[in-house]
Amino acid sequence: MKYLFPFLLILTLASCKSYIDLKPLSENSVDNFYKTESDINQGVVATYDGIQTLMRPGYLDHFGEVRSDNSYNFATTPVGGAYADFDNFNLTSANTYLNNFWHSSYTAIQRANIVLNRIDAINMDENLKRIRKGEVKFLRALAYFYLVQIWGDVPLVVDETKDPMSFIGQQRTPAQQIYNQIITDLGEAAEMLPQTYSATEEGRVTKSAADALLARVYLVRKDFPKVLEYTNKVISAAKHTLDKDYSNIFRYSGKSDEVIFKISFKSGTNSEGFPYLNVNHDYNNTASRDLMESYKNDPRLAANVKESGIKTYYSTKIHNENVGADNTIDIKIVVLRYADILLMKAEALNETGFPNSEALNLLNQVRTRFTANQPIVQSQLSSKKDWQNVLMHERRIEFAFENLRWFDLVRTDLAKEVMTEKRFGGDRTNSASALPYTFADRDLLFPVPQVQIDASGGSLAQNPGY
Amino acid sequence: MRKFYVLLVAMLLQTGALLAQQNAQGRVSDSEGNPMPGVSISVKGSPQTGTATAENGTFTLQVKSGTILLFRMIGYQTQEVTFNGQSGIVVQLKDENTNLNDVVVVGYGTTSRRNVISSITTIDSKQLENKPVTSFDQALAGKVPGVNISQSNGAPGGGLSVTVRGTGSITGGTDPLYVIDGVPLSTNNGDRFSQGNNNFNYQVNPLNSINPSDIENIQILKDAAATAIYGSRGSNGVVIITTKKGSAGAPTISFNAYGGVSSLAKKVDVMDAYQLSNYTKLARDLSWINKDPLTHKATDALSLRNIDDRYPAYMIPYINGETGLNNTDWQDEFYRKAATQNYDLSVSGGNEKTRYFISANYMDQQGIIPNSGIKKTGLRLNLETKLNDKLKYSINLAPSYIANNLARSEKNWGDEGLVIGVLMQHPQLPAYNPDGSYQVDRLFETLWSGESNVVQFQNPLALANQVDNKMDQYRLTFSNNLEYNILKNLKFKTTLGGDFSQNIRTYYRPKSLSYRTEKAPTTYFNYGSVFNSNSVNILWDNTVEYKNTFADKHDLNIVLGTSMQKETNKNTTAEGRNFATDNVRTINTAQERYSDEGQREWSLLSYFTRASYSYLGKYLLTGTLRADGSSKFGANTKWGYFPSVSAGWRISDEKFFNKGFISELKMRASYGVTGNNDIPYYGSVALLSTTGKYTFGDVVQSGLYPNTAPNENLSWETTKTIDAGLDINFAKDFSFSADYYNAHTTDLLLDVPVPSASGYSSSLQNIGAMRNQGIELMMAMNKTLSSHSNLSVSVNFSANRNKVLALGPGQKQIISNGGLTGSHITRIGNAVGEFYGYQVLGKFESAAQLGSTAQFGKQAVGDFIYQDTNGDGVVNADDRVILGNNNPDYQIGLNISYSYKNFDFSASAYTKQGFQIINTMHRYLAEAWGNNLSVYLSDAAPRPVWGVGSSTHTRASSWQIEDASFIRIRDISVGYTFGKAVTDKLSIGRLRIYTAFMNPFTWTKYSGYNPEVSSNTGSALTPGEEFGNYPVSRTSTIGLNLTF
Repeated sequence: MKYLFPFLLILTLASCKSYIDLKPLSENSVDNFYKTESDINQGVVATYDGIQTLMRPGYLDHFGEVRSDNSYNFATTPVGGAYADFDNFNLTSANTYLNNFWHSSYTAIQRANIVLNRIDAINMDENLKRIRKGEVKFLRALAYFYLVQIWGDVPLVVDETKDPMSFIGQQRTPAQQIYNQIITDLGEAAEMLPQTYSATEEGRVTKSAADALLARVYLVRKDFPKVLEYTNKVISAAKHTLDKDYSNIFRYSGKSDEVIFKISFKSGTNSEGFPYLNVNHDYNNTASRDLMESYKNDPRLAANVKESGIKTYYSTKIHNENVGADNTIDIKIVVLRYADILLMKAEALNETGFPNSEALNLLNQVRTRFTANQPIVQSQLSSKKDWQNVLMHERRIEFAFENLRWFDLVRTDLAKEVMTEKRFGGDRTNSASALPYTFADRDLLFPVPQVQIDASGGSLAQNPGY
Repeated sequence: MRKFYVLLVAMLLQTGALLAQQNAQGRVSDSEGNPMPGVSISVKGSPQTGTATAENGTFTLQVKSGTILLFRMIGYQTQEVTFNGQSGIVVQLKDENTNLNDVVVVGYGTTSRRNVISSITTIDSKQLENKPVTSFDQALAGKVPGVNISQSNGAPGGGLSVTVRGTGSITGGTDPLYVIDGVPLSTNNGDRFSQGNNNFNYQVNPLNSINPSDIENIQILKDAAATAIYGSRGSNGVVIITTKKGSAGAPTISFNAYGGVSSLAKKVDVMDAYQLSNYTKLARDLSWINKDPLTHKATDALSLRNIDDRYPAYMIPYINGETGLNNTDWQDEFYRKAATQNYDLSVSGGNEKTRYFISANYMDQQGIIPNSGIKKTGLRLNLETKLNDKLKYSINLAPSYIANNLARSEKNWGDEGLVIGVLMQHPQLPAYNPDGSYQVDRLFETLWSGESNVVQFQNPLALANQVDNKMDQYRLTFSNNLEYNILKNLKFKTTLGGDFSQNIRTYYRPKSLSYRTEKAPTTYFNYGSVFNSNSVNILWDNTVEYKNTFADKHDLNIVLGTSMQKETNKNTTAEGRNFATDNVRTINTAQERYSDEGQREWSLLSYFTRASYSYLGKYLLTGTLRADGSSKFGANTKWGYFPSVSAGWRISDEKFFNKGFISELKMRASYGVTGNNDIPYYGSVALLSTTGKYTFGDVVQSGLYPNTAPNENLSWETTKTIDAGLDINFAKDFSFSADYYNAHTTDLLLDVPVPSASGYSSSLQNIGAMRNQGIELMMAMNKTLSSHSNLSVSVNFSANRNKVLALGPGQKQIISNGGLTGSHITRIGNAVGEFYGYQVLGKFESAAQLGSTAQFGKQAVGDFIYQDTNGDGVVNADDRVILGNNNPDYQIGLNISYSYKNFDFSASAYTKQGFQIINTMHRYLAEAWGNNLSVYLSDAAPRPVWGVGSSTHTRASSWQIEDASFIRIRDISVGYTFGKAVTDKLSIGRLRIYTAFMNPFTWTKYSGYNPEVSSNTGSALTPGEEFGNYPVSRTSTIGLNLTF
């Protein structure tokens, strides 16, 4: 009998199935999440966070500003570099920052998709449910809107990913379909979203934000009647006005009625602030001589650009002197504001019928916010082209460092002409970059990141010319 | 069989006439005094008369006076003793002069070398003793065929890279399993979770806690037949460490001590102050001109230029050729001669019931980087006692305390990596101020004042000496064993073992030390952290062993067992910034404080068995099977099964075999399946990240999102290994063994890159496959040349070929980033982690050549011409090629020991041939920003370019690839043992003095500090990169061994 003793011991182990069933100790897992209203709220917050990433230095700024004639890469070296290549039209598909933006856009989209996939099954206030859906639809549309403007055709994903491996072999979706999805999402979002939030929830997407973004989408699509329709919706909703104090729009602590949608970075805790890059400010996104010269005597230059200790010129819109304990700063990145609504409407009016006195009036509203600026009068504008030049100039100096310039140049088909003119490089009055460059037609779109092409097994096609 | 024969003889004896006979009584022991049961005793000339020794080695036999007794035991020299009626015959049997009877420790048991039919290499204590090493693995380099040990880092106590038979995994662990006295060690003890976060990471070798002089022997289990009994942990090989035991007899006290000095073994060739000044001027002028070639000239005053294109004013006198200016050699200023001392004291002894071994060790090894080193204190108690005839209890207990003083070496300049920072320092600047204090902030001020953009690195002497960077490690490893002999042939053993450890990591960067973006007194970069981690690893093993011989012919040994093991790791971090003063450095005095916590655990439940059968000792067959269930495996793949089978044939025991020149000939073959469970703890679960926060109003709200995709099929990596081998003993003193192996690994865990459209960048899948095949040869000679001289020589050779067979679906290759983007590639058909980049063909010599040759972007005369591999007229990412790899074509180890009278000499050397290194130091030591490698003054170098992170230097190319083949004399020692005349006078047992040298010579073409360098240990995808690792030092010691 006693010989059996050890065997008995051995057998007892067999019952210890739970011994090898261990749950993570310091991490939450998906298995027990997305069950309650609070869970889904956190999923929505994470979607905002996904969009916030796109507004960090080295993301949208390099597509919207550094690429254009507005800013350049001061750290540019004689042989370029990954950041400088945006500036010098020397991008290759291997560029890290290119892939960062692609990747981060889709992680934001995935977070939106998760919320949309899971929210219907959750027992929560139906009204709140609608608002949450509206918010993430807007955020998803915003991400797709950047993607489609940067790359043209991109993969369209609107469902939660169950098996990432199934994406290998997937192709790019025609840009037209992407725009359709954006327009559908924004239309639905506008139906679901409220116009205002309580002070503690301020910063969430509003109905006017969805309408305003739709106006911008239609502007890119050159559907001017729709631009008028949606800019008018924002104007008639009367929730936004021009701020008398231009600087207040960008001041983190300033509450400004002009802002329609922004992305906030709060310094001091949890690494939520905007990265503080350098005592001499952002080397990679420095105002070009060409931009500063273009202001002439417009007081907005002083309100926008300051000189650093080493003679570089940085934008006050993305800088703040108060560095928090976590080496970050408070910043708000303005995505949509009322001045843009007025200028978009002005542009659409002009495109649908020149001359148009209302268009001129709208432009002057923005321009003469600074009393030192004289209004433009119709006699200065002899053609539609003249008017476009004035408007583009107005947009450039009004929105400099708000990540709009490059997209404005591309959508108006001016990119090639403008960028070629300023191709010489160096410290000249009309130079858009630190180094000389050649602008080619391929440069209107960006190369698809090689990492993505490789990961797809080659099924993602490259843009022509790269 | 033997016993049966003896029994038969005894029966015959009882019936025979027993006249005028006396009782011959006595005891038989081995050379170490251990009692030997089962020794056959017979009467010379009368083979029927005889007996065998009992369990305690005693015997009684009735014989006539004057009879000659023969004592026989297989594997021992037969002894004759003439019985003249003496009482208490003491016989000590000497080993046959072969290794056949050496006990070989295998998983959950032991066997003799004779019966080994798998691939196992044994290293005994002699090869480990008296070496100035902090861990035993450092002493194994070049001694074991098939094991590639690289001292990738020269820090005292720094981690080593050890791979058995090639790299066995791509993303999983590649370290072997270490088992000490039956307890598998926590191999993950050296990872970030246990030793601190990446930013201040420095991996300390988890084997430091084992005192090399406590080790009796080490078995390296290489093939699947040997390691399959360790199941899902067997793929990377198993290293079994057995510590010393006491032996019966009077206590033996031994004391060993050595002391020595280490120094930098080699310097890296960088520019001196004059060279650098001229080079910098040239680079800055070119940069300035290039900004606007139409108007800018080299003669333009510095004041006209922007900060980037100016050079520091202090370079101007050098450029003007003034003589006698300061010319600091920063490597001479920085690296120091470092002292080492080590003391071992041990007492061992016991009686027939109880045996003990107790040791104490203290080691203080300073590093050649100032303010770095290791201090170790360890104790060991090994006790074994027979509670009664059936019950035996043993305990091994080894507490240790290690105080590591760390230097941040393997980091780039931006992270204040000291090695690269020393090389980048401008030699125009002095290390000290006239008053003797450190010259600080000069490079910072040069930038801050707008004078010139230069490397922003603090004086490395100030950094090394003023920054606190420590790790205290407390560890207790133990095992308790209870053995119960249920029946004569049936033994039960239960083991309760454990490995408890605690690490306390502290870091402090003082207020008084400027940072490159913040002038002292610093606030944000006045940073301190305390990182606490503990690990509890508990093991309970049970085995039943059955051993019997049937009909004299059939030997059978069966082991059945179970094992439960669980490890829990916890860590907490407290960090602070902006301390009140530098005097008190605890976090409570910091203005800003943060904290963090992490926990993880894994468990393993196993059932295993081994059956060994031998027929007449000639035909050997062993099979093993293990079933492992692990918490790390996905829900659908909770259990893995790992079988093996091996067979051997000892041809030399066949009747037809004529034992002449060859005394032993064994052929063996094995096949087995093993696993690698060194995969992420919770890889099968979709985890949520809490970093998805966002601010509404002015309140930060928490947000969660999944950052990993689930995979319920996640499992171990599987390796199927075939091994065929041969063991020969010949010409009396020689032995030879050869092995061929082919290990085919499937289910390799890969973080398969997936399109980001999925929301993820990768998905963890068991999907890859690769093969390691190779040969191992070992030849040894141990020859007694004369009565007072002995020579032993062993040579080993091994060659391994690694080949990736499959990656993710449709995936042909994985390109990985080391210090340079895309510097490594893992491509199907090639080895894992080969070097990748552009092939440099030469330099553009003229404008005409520029026009007619494919360019990378816009190039200029003096730039590298890169190969346009696909011939499409432009050089781009598609033109990259494989440039080499870090896997040696072959390695050879040579170990010699020779003794002549009282003198002894030993040396070991090894070589690795046919492999390369990617010298990423080019990224920073070529920018005319800090100092530069001297090679940039050579004709082959490209034109000077200046620029932080400029793409010329961040582009991996054949320019950075260097041949790293080397021959290294690992150690040499010469000793003298004093004769009896001296020792008797001092009343001591033995006294030896010696001098030893570690790494005295290395021959290599490699230009960096160490050809075995690897900055990314732990990543099979990016091996062989030089990114400023702690340089290897050369050590000389003198020591003494004293035995009472």
